[in-house]
Order: sequence, then C-alpha cells, then structure tokens
Amino acid sequence: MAERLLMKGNEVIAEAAIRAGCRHYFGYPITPQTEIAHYMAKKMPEIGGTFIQAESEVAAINMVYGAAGAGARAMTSSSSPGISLKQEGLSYMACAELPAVIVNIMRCGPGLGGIMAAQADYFQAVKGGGHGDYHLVVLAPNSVQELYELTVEAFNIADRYRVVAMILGDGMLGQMMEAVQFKDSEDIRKCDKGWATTGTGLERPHNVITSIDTVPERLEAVNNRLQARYRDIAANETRVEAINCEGADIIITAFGTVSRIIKNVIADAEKEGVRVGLIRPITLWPFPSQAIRDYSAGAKAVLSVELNAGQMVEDVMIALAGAKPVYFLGRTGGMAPTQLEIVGKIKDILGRAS
Amino acid sequence: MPRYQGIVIAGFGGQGILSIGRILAQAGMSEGMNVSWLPSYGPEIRGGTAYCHVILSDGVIGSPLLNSATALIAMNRPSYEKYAGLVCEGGLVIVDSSLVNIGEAGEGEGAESAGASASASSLGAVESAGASASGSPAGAAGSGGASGAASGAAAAGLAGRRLFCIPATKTALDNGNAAFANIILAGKLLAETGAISTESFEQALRKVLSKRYQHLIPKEMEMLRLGMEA
Amino acid sequence: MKTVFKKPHALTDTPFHYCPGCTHGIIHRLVAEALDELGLEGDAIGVAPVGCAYNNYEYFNCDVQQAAHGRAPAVATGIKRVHPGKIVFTYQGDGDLAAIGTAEIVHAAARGERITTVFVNNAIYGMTSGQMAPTTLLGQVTSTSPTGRKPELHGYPINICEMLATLDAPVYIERVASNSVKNINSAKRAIKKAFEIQRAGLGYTIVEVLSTCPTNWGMSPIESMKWLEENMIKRYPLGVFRDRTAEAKASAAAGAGVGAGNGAGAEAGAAGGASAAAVAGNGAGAEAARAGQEARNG
Repeated sequence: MAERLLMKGNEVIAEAAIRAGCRHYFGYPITPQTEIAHYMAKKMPEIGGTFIQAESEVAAINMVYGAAGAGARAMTSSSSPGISLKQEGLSYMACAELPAVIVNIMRCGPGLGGIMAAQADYFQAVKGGGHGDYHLVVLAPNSVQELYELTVEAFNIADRYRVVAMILGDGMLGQMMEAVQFKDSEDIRKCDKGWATTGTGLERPHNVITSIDTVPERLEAVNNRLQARYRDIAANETRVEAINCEGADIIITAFGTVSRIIKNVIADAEKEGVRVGLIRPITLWPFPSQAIRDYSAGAKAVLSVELNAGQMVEDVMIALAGAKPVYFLGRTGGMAPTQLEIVGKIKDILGRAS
Repeated sequence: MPRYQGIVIAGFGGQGILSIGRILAQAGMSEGMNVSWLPSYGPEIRGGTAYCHVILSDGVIGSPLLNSATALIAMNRPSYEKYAGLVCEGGLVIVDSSLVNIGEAGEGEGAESAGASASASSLGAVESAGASASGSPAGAAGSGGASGAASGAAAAGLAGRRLFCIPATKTALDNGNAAFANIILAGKLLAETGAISTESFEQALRKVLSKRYQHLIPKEMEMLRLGMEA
Repeated sequence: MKTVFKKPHALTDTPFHYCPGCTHGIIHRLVAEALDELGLEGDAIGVAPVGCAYNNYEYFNCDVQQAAHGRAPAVATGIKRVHPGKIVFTYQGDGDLAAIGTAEIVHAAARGERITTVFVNNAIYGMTSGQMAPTTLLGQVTSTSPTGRKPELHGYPINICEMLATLDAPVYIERVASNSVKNINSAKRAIKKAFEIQRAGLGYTIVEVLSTCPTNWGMSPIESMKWLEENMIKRYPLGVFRDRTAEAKASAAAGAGVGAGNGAGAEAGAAGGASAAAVAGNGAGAEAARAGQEARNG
C-alpha cells in the first residue's frame, strides 16, 4: 500500500499529471489554482519536462494544442475567467480531435467575481463552452484522493477518445489538504498516436491537424464522427456515486465539494427521521441521466444543491422529464449552504410533497 | 468511541495559523485518522486575517468546511468574535490573551458582552451581502466580515463552552520568539482534548517544517509542553 | 534527358488555389525548395495560419498543424517543446501575425523559441476581402478604410521586423520581397538561412516577405508588383534587422545552451541602450526608423 501523504488539492493535480506521463504544462497565473503552476515550474525541469508560463491564457491553450498535436500528453490549468479565455482553443481542439487535459478550479463570477469557491461554470463546462457542437469530458472530483485518480483517468480518456477532458473542481478542493495515496502507474494507459505531427521522416504521408473544412459534406462527416464518439463516451465512461438512495424520502443531487456537505446532511436528517439519498455525478458530461432516474425512483422529490444560481438542476430535470418534482437550493458569490439550511429546505419540500 | 475534532484556528497572517493547522492534520493522519485542512487563501492572507479549518476523524469526513467546531484557537480579537459562536457546546475556546483582551470578559457576563459586540459588528456585513443568516463562505477566505451563523451564536454568549485565556505571545516572547505562540496554544488544545499524542505532534513537525527550521524542534516541543501545562 | 525545372519534393501535387498574381505560391515554393535543399522535409512540422494560406497543408508535404487566428507561434512553441530536434515553422499573414496574434509573436520571439516564422505581409486582409490590416500603408484604400488609412483615425502601420529587433532573443530577422527575380532569390536565401539557424538550435528566426494582393488591392498582377516596389518597400525597407548567428554559434559552442541568444542580446543592449536601428545589420533598420519617424511627423 502506498504511503499516505498530506497534500494540497492543486499540488495533487500536478503530481497526478506528471505520474500520468504529462511532460508539457502551459499555464498563466490565476487564483485559486496557481499552486499547480508552482508545482510544475519546480518539477518539470527536474524530469526533463516543459513548463511555460505563457503570455496569456489564450497562448497557453494553444501551446497545449501544439504539444497535443505533436503527440505529447499536455495540460493547462486555470480558474473561471481564465477558462473563458481558453474556450477558443478548446473548440479548435475538439474539431482537430486533440487529446489533452484542462483543469478549472472554479471561483465565483460573473466577471472577475471573487476567488472563493463556486460551481457557476457548470454550463460552460458541460455544454461545450466555445462555439460549435462539441463536448469536453468533464470530471468532478470531491476529494484530494479523487483529484489524483480522476486526473490520471482524464489523460486516459482523452487519449482513448481523442477529446479534451476537464477536471472541474473549485477553490475549496484546490486549496484544501487531505491524505492522498498515489497508486502504481498501471492505471496509466497510453495509446498509439500515429496521427500526430512528428515529422514524416519521408516515410509516411504527411499528418495534418486541422479544424477547418470548407466543404459542407466533409465537415458534416467530421461532426457526425464527433457525435458518434460522444455517444461511445456516454455509453462507456459515465460515472456516478449513489449513497443511501434505497428507501430515501428525498434524493439530493450534488457534485464536487457540495456533495461532501450533503454527506453531513444525510446524518443530520437521519436524526430527524428523514432519509436522504445522494446522487453525485462524477462525470458531469456525460451526465448520468439513467442513474438519476433509477436511484430516485422511490423518492418523493429530488433536490439539486449547487454553488450557483441553478445549472445542473436543468440536466436533472431533463433526466427526470417530469417524473419527479425537482427543487433547487443554491448559493452564489462564494457562499455555501450550511447543513442547517439544507435540512430546512428538505423539511420544507417534504412538507409540501406529503 | 470514534475520535473527532473540528478545529478552527484563526488570527493574523504571519502568526503561523495555517502551519499549526497543517501540523495538527499531519499528526492526525499519522495516527490513522482521516484529516482535512482547509485554509483561507488569496490576498487576504497577506497581513490580513488567516484561518483554517482542520478536521481529524476516525469516520469519513464530509464537508471540510466547518459549520460547527469542537475547538477554536483565536489569535486576534476579530477571529475570536467571528468564530467563538461556531464552537459547539462543551467545545473549547482557546484565546491568546496577550493579543485578545477579553480579560474583563471571562466566562460570565464578559463573554456575553464579547458576543454582543461580535453580533453588532457583523450585522452590517450580513445585511449588505443580502444573504440569509445561515450561509457560510465557500472556501475559507471569508472576506466580508463574519458569517451569519457565527454572529448569531456569538450573540448567545459562550455558555457551555470552555474558555481558556493563554498569554501565548507573551510567553513566546519570554522564550525568545513570538513565533512560538501558535505551538503554545496548540499545547493547550492537545492537553484539553487529547486529540493527538505529543509524539505524533513531534513527528509531524519533522515532516512539515522545512530543513532550515528543523533545529528548532526541541524548542518547539518545549513550548508545546508549556502550553499543555498553562 | 536533363530536367531543368521540377516541383520541389516538399510540395504536394495539389494545384494552388491562390488568385492570379498573388505571391503566396512563390513563397510556398521558396519554403519547399529550402526544405528540399537542406534535406529537412522529413523533419519539418509547419503551422498554418488563418488567412488565405489557412490550408497550406494541402501544398506542403511535411506534417502541418493548422492554428487558430494569430496563435501559430503558441502552437509552434508547443510542438517544438515536444520535438526539439524537428524543424518547426509558422507561416502567417499580416492580420494573423500583426493584429490578432501580436502577443503570441512577440512572446515567442522574446522567449527565443527555436522556431522559424515566415511572415507574409501584403498590407491587407485577403481572405475576408480586403479590410485594413495593421500593415496597411497610410493613404491605402481598403474596405474598412474606404477613404484611405488616416493616422488620426487608424493610427500608423506596424513595422514588425523593426519591432521584434528591439528584443534580445531573436537571432535572425530579415525583410525580403517577392516582386522580382532578384528579390525572390534573396527571399529564398533568407528562408534557407533561417532554417539553417534553427537546425543548429541557435534561436528564433523570422523572415518577412512583402507580397501582393492584386484582388483586394484592385490592381493587375503587374501593377501590384510595381505598387509593392514603389510603396511598400518605402515603408518596409528590405534588409537584415538582426543577425547574431555568429554570436549564437560561439556561445552555443561555449556551452551556454538556451541562453545563447539572450546573452548576445543582453550585451548588445548594454552596449548602446540600443534601438532597433542601432543594432540592425546593414542600416536598413535605420532607414525604417526614419521612415517611421517621417510617417509620424507627416
């Protein structure tokens, strides 16, 4: 068993990337994710890797584009306003079918907002974010240990499907320390990248990485290929955690750090004779719609608790298609709901539902 | 009986607030507990308020953000006013009395008056934030004054909490360095809760302190024992 | 039978899509000939821009990545850091490089990325049908400066070579033109030299090639060549604005490694508090600076 280490979430993301074989990191400073860059700046030169503090978020994501197109495992990280700037690159990478990992340690917005934790970039993360029809695979860890596991997995998924995978955390998760165990590198699955630009060596036809095609029939074919791949990903990579759902009076849907508050709420509500179940989507895209339908089948209502003004709740409603009443509790601006507040909301809903 | 401690440590940036929290978390982990350490972050920590939430638990840790604490170590007055109300009944409030003058407070009426002033000072912040009184900042850097929960509880006084006023900074200065104050206060926490052993604490110091401070460990342990006996 | 003319191997068989009189085709050929003659095609990785040459990968036989508008130097940086032994070049127009991609080109040059930029300057946005570019000349009519570029309204053209020559890191900066046999031969020599410098791992290189856009200039191909000669070269003087090949070689030999270009630059900077004009190789920079001054005064 590997040693338990006490580490900061952001540092674990960086270490996980390195352990997953990432040797090319490009970033730009922004709170609350900057420790990732600090860690990379220190470690990459020691292991023959590249760390570049880019001139902008835009340049950083395009350096990732170049490195990923050249066949390397590459990563960038940022926080909400910086992720907005990277959307151009993400859209291009989606069309050019480039695998890479991007980390968003969310802060609150809109605008510069504040540096406190929020989940208000959910829509941006799961609905594409940039222009055009595409998806990122969005992974939402809720502990430092999961930051490690899902960052490694993000590289695997990215390579396997030639897509960009996003780690969507928040300031709380990035800044906190918990025990983490790094497992062996057998988790790491690398793919052959015969499509990469490595120089032809005059031995093969040239490889081209591009996101433009001005012939509609061909570009539609590209889109169809992407959509087929997204269906594969949805079929194979959807992840969800369900706790206490059997016989639950009410199901709460929550992701990331909020799901941990709900774990406390389950205990608090139990004392008051209310059974609360938790469905935690681990992949926000693909969204675990079927799991939400299945696990909430016996409950009276579903409540989505989020650090935003109501975003994932829309996907919950789409999943349930009117089968259950769906409620929402959210806080914004860097505030988080307390257990007391959530239990109050539950009692209010169940009072109404009975 | 499963072990559980939810500890808030708060004061000014530079008092070693985050590092003492980290040492406690490291020590708890070495004793096989689950631990979490959630710091304040960003510009606030430079000369402003710094705090961290530390949870040590045999059970699974839910939210790393404490709505209710078993102990508070307060190293300045705003921290005391802001977080005393978070401490649950039977919990500990450990104050650096060299820096926080609640001498006139004590455990009786004074505690009430301290609570009342906390309530008054934080009311504006809560109102201007337009938030209900039951929220708390998501992530540790509480910028705009106290959370509603803290001020509400503080207003109710410290009845049922165990208050310890330790002149930690003065004692630390008498021993040559104000930077020992956090260790002295941690000593009191260990003595009153038995949260972790002194051996684990010492091991944690070895892990957490950088090379250039390792030689201070014997002195730090001496300060820890001073705090335990205070 | 003796072959007297053939397509370079580094070009594909696909016919160019460029307008009659446009010199992109010539410049593509120069790049391909340089790769052929240096035996670098198999090691080359190009980065295509957004602009008329967006699909130059249809023509270049080497590996190519197509980049978002202006981002080619960042993409090239990513590629080169993965494959430091390969020859990485960007091929960019003036809108791409000097407007939306100004940050990327300046910082790639400032970092001394060991890449080569072929900068095709025709003083107009071609692909989007003739809008004003950062390099559009004063008085030049475009679809977004319909009464001519006016300094008080549109500001002044940007001289990229002169600007980049204020940086420490670049090893080689030259401006050439594609409008005459003499200039085209000179352009080929410059591109070849840039690739050689990159092959030796010496540092950042850029060759600006003045080119034409008969379609959007509203001229015949022959008039365009004349206009380039008479107007563009006045504003954008040809010549070498930086050549620190010798210093970079010397410091590379001395084991200075990555700092090669930077060291040389720092010395030059210290020597004279030098402006672009003062460090230029052959005085063309001085002319450019004067031209710039006149434009401002005018």
